[in-house]
Amino acid sequence: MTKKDTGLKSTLSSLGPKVPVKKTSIDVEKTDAATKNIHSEKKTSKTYRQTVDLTEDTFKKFKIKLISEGKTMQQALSELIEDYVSQ
Amino acid sequence: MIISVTSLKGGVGKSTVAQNLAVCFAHSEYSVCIVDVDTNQSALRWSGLRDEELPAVPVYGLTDGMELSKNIKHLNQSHEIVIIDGTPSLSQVTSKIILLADLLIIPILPSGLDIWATEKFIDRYRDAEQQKEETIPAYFLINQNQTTNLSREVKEVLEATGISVFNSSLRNRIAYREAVIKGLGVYEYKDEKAKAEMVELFKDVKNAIKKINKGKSK
Repeated sequence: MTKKDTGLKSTLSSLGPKVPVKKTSIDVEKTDAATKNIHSEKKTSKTYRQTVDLTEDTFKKFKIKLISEGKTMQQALSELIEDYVSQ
Repeated sequence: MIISVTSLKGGVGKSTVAQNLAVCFAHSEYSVCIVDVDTNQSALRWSGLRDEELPAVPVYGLTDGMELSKNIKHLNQSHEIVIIDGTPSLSQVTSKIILLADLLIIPILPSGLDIWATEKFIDRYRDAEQQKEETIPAYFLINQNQTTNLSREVKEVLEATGISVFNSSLRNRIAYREAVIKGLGVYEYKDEKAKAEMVELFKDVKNAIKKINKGKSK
């Protein structure tokens, strides 16, 4: 069915050309797990956020190891630091 | 691509922004839909008033739960743009909406109350980035902007958070309130000033999408 002329065609160009949109994907399980982590009871104690610079090579190896072990960066770093400070 | 429009505070114009951006996307020949997660379901009601002969902006009303991510995943496969109209709370659904976003738009009014509420929202946004282990592109949008010292100060405070602020902003115009009860966006309405500022916002959003495209192609 032909759509009614709304008279908007003359102003359509004001919106500019269509920008391609890349298809993105959603990992449902990861999203829901991340939501639960944000709202977990563990977060009742005060936390501190730190930033660390890693070389690209170390960072890539770190990410690969995390994926192979199914761990998050948060879990792995927390374990490493807790081990370190308890020595 | 998922565009989440959310904030901690109510009455900042989430639904107005979601609906009006969706109309601009529809007129630019994108397949677009709105997911209305807001308890008010105002986008859903707006869609019921919309003329069938105008470019289609389907609206889906969803509540929180395990099905939210799954349904948005399906809609993301069948639409180029999925706009999530969020709910004003720090509940799990807001965290999920932030996590799902490829682009996050945070409307804010130029007031001290909004800045205070935004502090908590930014904490949640940082938590979500940490859990997602990737950057979530986010932009503040100043709504009901005025040329006052307070507005300028609010913009400076927002810029200092490290989250970008859209160059364009929206004014407090009756056209937004009139258009919504006719099922229209201001782009389809008679107020040329409202239409022009929405076009500017739409261009900012498209520029943000271009930046995301470049980042994802690396």
